[in-house]
Amino acid sequence: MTSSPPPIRLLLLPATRFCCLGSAWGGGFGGGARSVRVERRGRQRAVVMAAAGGGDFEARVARIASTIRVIPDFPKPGIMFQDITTMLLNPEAFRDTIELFVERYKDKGITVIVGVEARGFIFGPPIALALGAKFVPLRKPKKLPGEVISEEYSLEYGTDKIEMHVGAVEPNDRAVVVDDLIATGGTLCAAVNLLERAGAEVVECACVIELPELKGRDKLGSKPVFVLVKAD
Amino acid sequence: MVVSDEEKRKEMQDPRTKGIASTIRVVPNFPKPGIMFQDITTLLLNPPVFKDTIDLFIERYTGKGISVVAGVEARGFIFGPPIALAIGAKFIPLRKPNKLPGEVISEEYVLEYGADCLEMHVGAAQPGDHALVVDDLVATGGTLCAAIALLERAGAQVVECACVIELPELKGRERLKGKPLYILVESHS
Repeated sequence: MTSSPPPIRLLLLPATRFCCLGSAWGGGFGGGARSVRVERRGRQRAVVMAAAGGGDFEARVARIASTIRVIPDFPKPGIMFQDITTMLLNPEAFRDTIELFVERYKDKGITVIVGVEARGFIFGPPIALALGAKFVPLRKPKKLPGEVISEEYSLEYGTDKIEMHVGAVEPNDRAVVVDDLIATGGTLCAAVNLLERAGAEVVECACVIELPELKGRDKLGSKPVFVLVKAD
Repeated sequence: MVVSDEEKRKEMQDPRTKGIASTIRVVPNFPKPGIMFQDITTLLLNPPVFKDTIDLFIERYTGKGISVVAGVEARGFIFGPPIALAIGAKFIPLRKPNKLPGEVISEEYVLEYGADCLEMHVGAAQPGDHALVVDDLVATGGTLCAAIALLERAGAQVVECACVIELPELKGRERLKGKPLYILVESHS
């Protein structure tokens, strides 16, 4: 599964697309954002959004992107599946991923990290622990014991429902929703709805990977989305 | 992995385990009548206690040559990664069928309530790896047994299984192919 990593060619492109990274706060991400295109594994190019002047940020994100494996035709023909398990096999890349999120959200008064089952459970808890925030799992139906609220949503491939425990979040909680990837935005939208129904404020959605062509950001409307890697 | 008798005594009496036990919620008759479900989500809502939980595992496994932490879907995904990150080990998710993309190996097992199958990516664990298996709870030991089998089939050596909660009456400890089990809290019915 892993051989020596492919060479990474970094091409600096003019900033034709302005990404709303951290525009709500400006700290560290204000000003121009450069696009960096990364060649990966001969199959797919990833566009890595980098902060202006953030050399270390770019290097870390490029390494993270290089550890993500693309599996064609999974779970069905035509889908190029973004597999983060290979990144989890690289302790430095996994640590960098978590640190990039923690750096963004520390000192922002975040009281809750919400993780969407199941890959959101891998990234959410380390972030929550570092921030001293609660971790709230959002789960498929009938997995959470006790009283829950539910929200239906459309997946990129099918429909589903997610649930949250009653009482897990409270009014005045400031939440960040974490998942490995945003595609159509359906799952994240359902997560935001659950949190808002419970009275919490959703500050941002945070994902490792975005598939921009599926326009998940549009579905989330005014809710900001922060990602490390964009995959074409 | 060698743990001295003194270390074992200290761990069992660690005052942090009282706080951990107090934050676990028991939900009766879930997922079916007669089962007293040990709900760790309330522990996760208490940041100092969640930190204590992870710290107890990190203190035990740091510097012990563990190269892999394998977490059983889905609640093992909550506890395994923070441990892996802290000790510098790879994290390997063990998943229900058809969730992992690419080539996998599978192991069938019997649950406390039903039967299932666990999968691991080919190549994730390798000969020479020293592995820890993590889950929130051990009941009959069936899931952990399947996890151990997968890792051993890949040539890794399983050093220990680590869970937050044990249901000792279900005797899971005896079904771990001779592997030691480390737990923080016991729950008796």
